Amino acid sequence: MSCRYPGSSRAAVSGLDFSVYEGEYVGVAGPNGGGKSTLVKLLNRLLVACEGEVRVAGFDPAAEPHEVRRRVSVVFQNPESNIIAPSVEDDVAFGLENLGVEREEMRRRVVAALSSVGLAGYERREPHTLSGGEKQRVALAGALAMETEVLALDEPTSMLDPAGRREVLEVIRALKSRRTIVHVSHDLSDLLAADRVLLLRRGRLLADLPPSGLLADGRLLEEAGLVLPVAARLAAGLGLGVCTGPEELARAVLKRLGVQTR
Amino acid sequence: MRLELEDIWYSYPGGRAVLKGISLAVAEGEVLGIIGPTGSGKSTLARQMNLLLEPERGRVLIDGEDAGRMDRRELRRRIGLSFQFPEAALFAPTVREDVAFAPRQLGLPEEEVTERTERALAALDASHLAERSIYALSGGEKRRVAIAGVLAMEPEVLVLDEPTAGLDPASRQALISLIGDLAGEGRSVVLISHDVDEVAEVSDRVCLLDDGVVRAFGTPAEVFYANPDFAPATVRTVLHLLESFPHLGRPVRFGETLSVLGDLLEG
Amino acid sequence: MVRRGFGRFYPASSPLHALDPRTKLLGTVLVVAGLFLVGSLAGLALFAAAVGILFVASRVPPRAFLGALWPVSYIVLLTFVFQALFYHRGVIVFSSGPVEVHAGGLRMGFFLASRIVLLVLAAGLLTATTSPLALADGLEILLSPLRRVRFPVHELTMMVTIALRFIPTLQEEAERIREAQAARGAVFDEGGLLGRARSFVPILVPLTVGAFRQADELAEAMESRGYRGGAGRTRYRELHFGGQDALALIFAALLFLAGVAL
Repeated sequence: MSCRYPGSSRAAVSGLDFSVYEGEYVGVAGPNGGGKSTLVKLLNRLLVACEGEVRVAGFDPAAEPHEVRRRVSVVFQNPESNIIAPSVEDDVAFGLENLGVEREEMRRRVVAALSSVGLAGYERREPHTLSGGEKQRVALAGALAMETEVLALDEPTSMLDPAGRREVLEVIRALKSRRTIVHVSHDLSDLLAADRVLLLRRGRLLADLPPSGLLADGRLLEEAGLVLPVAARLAAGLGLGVCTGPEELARAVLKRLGVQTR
Repeated sequence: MRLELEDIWYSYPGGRAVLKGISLAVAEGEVLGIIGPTGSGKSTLARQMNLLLEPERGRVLIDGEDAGRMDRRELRRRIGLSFQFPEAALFAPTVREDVAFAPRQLGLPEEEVTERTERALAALDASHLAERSIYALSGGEKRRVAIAGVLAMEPEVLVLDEPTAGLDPASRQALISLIGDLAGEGRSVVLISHDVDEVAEVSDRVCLLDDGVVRAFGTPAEVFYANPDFAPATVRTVLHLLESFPHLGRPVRFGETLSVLGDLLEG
Repeated sequence: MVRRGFGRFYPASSPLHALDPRTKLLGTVLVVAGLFLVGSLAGLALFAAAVGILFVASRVPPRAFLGALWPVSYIVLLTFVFQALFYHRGVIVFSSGPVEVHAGGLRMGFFLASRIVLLVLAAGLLTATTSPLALADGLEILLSPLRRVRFPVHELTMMVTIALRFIPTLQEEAERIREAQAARGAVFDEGGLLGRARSFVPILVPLTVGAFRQADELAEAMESRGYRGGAGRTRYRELHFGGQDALALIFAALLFLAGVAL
């Protein structure tokens, strides 16, 4: 199954041409306002392309939105807006109700989905008692319960605190290769587990590279207006190649100095 | 103004103790960073500073005097508090009118109101947004306008609760650097953030809060090097190297860390 | 924090809580109708006894109920006083100048006042033992025959469910906005009526705008999860009508008949 996307839609995105294949984890990075969210909305027909073609699993969202929405689940940025029902289990079941799944099967899927995001036992909880991270995980559970092939995530962690961000990223990484994932984020450090990253700026595709390739290309990042995480910036400033964290950086320093590392 | 919190205790109405004997001081002209995990009481502590919440026990002192005896409005003018996602409270038709709200509420003459509005917008690099509608701003712009709205009161202490939350990394960097410049003569800044890297870049002193108690309080180097779990990436990197190179020093900010490591690599 | 006043759901485990919401809705209608039809003090006493029994069965503490009788207390008092002063039937019990109180007036006053109290209590029993969500479900099923006459049953239920989901969230948001404006020197309790009304603009404007934005995001989330209105949806929550429900309905029906007769 593949998700192809050559298209152009007003000025939000233009001349975008790329494909996502089954089981891939594709990151979408770029500064705010660069078209990343537009891309996601074009996938499930919240927006329609002005020019060009969008194909999700062979279907055109503009023509057959319902078929596409059975195959693509979206989790949005604002944890509040992702939750529709007054209780966790009702919310996870919402999408299943829309699909016309029968009750026994719904119950089974809700329990399984909550369990796989680490929220077993949260069924009767009310949304306003949940933390941001928990809310996003409920949204993910809802997406998983629908058993869609593609999971599209529009900045799922940008409104969360570090703990929430960790929880959500953990769940996403665990889903790698079990779903096709399109993960939009303004923060490159969220996308380190991706197979490749699409870099969008002002609606245009600047690059399509694996994360390490992107981190290594300082000129490209600058052009895109992206800021590297601290350790990576230090590494770049010291000419040590790509380092994604303090431990890696320290090891690189020691290696350069010929010191034995444990 | 010197702001002191003296043995502050506070519990939620349900009974759970959130602040358990907090004592700290904010010196004039400094940036004090307050860090700690979620639920440690950082936001509750922020609300104690201008007595939006009253402590059960303990006192808030302003230049040595008990703030509890002062007029609340005056207090809130002198200690300006900007909450998380402050742009949710923008309401006036234009940026200028919204930022002017606070000085106007103070009953100042129009000329003074205009001047303060201009100064506040300039300090947040938002002067060019003055005539825009609040609905025509990007996320980062809204944030800066909202903070300017509190700054326009010209408080002596500006308390910012997670000012960079939700912004993209480039906007975060720009805002933090503006914030660092806000402290100076006659004004101190209390920066509450869960992003230790940015706190490390602009703070003169740091307070580590954990589970309602002050775990550490001192210079960034003192606090971070003694609490690696809460340290920024710069400090964590150096900590890994200190075993092999004990005389490396204790850099905290990006610039000094780059310098120290650069020197190390050159031999 | 959502305050628990009277008329609010009080979670407990009792025979009344366990009843199907449809039973309770119909039962309440029957009891209320009976209360309006009852004509004698003896009949009223019977209703009072019945309501008393239901109270005990509900395991809701009396404190929760007394709280809500408070607002209607002056209507009750007013009714009693009005009847006592102006319903001139039976023996004169007290007179002083133009004021004349008759025994019949006292009896009627007592009767009408008690009826108001019992009505409020009966309604309160319903809302205290049935969660808002269960009430919405019960109503949806009871009203579903109206779908044939194009009455938007599903849409109304969905509106109620979403409102229930967002009321605590909006309350918190209002509080946050109020705090932020207070920190900027806004005052809300000064000035005349007009002044006070105007002082709420800094809260109402952002709250309303925020609510609309949230509604927009919510709609996108709902559509993304395949929502297309009520057609073809299954229900996750189910209601069980059991033996106790039948008994409860019979009880309510008997009360109704008693009301007619007595």
